[in-house]
This record gives sequence, structure tokens and C-alpha cells, in this order.
Amino acid sequence: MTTAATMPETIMIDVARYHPEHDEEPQYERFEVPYRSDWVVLDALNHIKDQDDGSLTYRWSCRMGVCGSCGMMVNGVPVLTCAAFLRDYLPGPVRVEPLAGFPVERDLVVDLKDFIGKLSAVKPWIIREEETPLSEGEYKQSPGQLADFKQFSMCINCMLCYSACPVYQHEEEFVGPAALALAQRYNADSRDEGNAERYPLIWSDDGIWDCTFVGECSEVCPKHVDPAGAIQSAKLESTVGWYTSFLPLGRKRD
Amino acid sequence: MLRELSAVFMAVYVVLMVIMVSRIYEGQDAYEDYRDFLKSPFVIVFHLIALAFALLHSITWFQAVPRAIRIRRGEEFVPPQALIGTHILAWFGISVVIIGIFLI
Ligand code: SF4
Ligand code: FES
Repeated sequence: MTTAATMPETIMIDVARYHPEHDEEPQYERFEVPYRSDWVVLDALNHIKDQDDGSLTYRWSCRMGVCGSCGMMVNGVPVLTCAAFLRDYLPGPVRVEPLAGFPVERDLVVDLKDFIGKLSAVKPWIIREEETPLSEGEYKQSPGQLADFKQFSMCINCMLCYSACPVYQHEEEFVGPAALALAQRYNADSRDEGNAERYPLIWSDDGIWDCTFVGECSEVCPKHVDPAGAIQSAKLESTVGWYTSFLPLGRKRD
Repeated sequence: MLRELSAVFMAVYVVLMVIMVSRIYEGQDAYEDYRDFLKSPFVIVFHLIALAFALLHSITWFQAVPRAIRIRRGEEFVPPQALIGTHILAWFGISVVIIGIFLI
């Protein structure tokens, strides 16, 4: 517990800098910023950009844990920097790096291409065998049916789970926690009929079976999506599907 | 982390077990030799550690059950504790039956 009397006036922030034009690899630069107990790491970065070096590059937008764009490694752990209070890192220094496992574009900004590609690859939209005409009204859903997938729909695409996942760090092909949780979100939606279209990818070796249930993704997820849980549910479904495919009336194997 | 490490001990245990089966196949002398090896303090300590890891692995496995199996009744999900409890009871029951079969 830091009391007012012992509160430091400043705190050191070590920021990973990388300029593709002239850097072979990232370097660390140390900045001293004022310490405020209600400041988050993002406030410190904004202070640096305002006062010390306007060229510092990073993403952020909402500053309230909603947009998912401010994810970075702080002292080696992937967090939303708008929700990471400096007071939890006393006495410092605080090391700020780009999200692990992604190619760095500049300073703290990573390349999102791989992640965005994976999100769309799981077909995250409601697929119907046959669309009902609008005139027949909306697709109805009970609160219980909503509960089946609501948790998985809370994802803000912050990618913290990918940075925490040891499998993704080794195998870039892995579809990964958030995209697999998103697939589960639609597969568990009573209005959706597209499970069979998603299975080939999510049941493949790059999908759920790459996951060894380390569970770090769920630990770091700021929205309690529990992607690790979603993947285990999908594994159960996949296993049951595989066994029942041997039964006369079971689903045919692909 | 410890849970992942438990796999190493399980793997070594299985290897020791497979060697035992092959010794039994080779005949009484080979089997007796192997039993002497198993009685050495080092191997006994290994088995105690392996047992501890097996328990850790099983218990954490059952704790993970509610994350894979989500059973909804109406608008509520069956509470995680109930799922874990049922699985642990079943585990216990089956273990008792298996031990019973070997003792009879
Ligand atoms: S599942 Fe959680 S950690 Fe992963 S991208 Fe979504 S909100 Fe972020
Ligand atoms: S700035 Fe939007 S989540 Fe942090």
C-alpha cells in the first residue's frame, strides 16, 4: 500500500521503439513521467507523446476498455493499457512493448492482418439454410438461447489472448482463441444453421485440436469471454460428432 | 504450469509399465529382476511423485469440466460445483469398483 507520503513523484517507463526505416530490431527508450495514482499506462504514453516525443506510435481510442485497440505487453503481460493502472506497477520501471506474437509495424503498433483474416475465416455471421423473408418477421430467440452464446459474444478483438497463447507464439497457423470463441458464438446461436460450414476449419489441425488448454487466453481476457472454455466445448462437440458419424443415422464425416 | 509438467511424469510412468509387460513376456527371471529394480528407493520416490502429479492432473481436469460442458436449464446454467462434484463422485465410484475387481 502506497500512502500519500511515500507516493513517488515520477515513474520510469521503458518503451520499445522500432522504426522500420532505420532499426534492425526494437530498442528500449526510457522516459520519466509524472506519477498519478489514477493514471493508467496509456496516460503515461500520451504524456510522453505530448511532452517528450511526438513520434511515439501506438493505437488507442476509447480509453474505457471497449474498443480493444490499446493492447500492449506491460511488464511482459498482455493488457489493455487503458485499464492498467500505474499504481499496480510501483515502483517501476514499467516496460511497455508491442503485443507478443505479431509482426511489429512501428513502435507499439502491430500488424493485424493475420488476426483479421482468421476472424473472417470462421464465418462469423448468421448462416441460414434458407433465409426467411423479412415479411415473416425476425428470428425469435429466448433469453435462455441467448445465454448459450452471450459470453462468447463479448469479445472486443483486443488480441490479448493471442499474445498470451503459447501455441500461437509457436504456430502462426493456429486459428487462435478469439476466432475460435467467435466460431463457437455463432455455432451456439439458435438462429444460426452454419455449424457444418465452420467445422472443416475449426475441427482441423490448425483449429481447436492445436489447443492444449493452457488457459492463459482466458486469464488475460478483459471481457471474460473464456476462449479456452469455448474451445473445450467445441472439442467436446467435435468428439461427439466424430463418434456419432459411425452410427447409421449420424452426421457423415467430411 | 504444474499441470502441464504432470504429463512428463505420466509418460515416464507409462514407459515403466510397458517395460514391465515386456519383462513378464520374457519370463519369470526377467520379471523378478525388474521387480527388484522397482523396489529401489529412487524408483519408489519417483512413483510417489508421479502419484501426486496424477492426483493434481485428475483434480484440475475435473475442475475444468464446467468450462467444456455447459448445461443450461431454462435461463440458468447448471452450477459448476455440481458438475465438478458429479464427476469426482463418478471417478471415485469407478476407482472403488476397479480396486474391488483386483482385490477379489
Ligand atoms: S477473447 Fe478476450 S482477450 Fe481475446 S480478443 Fe476477445 S476480448 Fe480480447
Ligand atoms: S483505448 Fe479502447 S480498449 Fe483501451
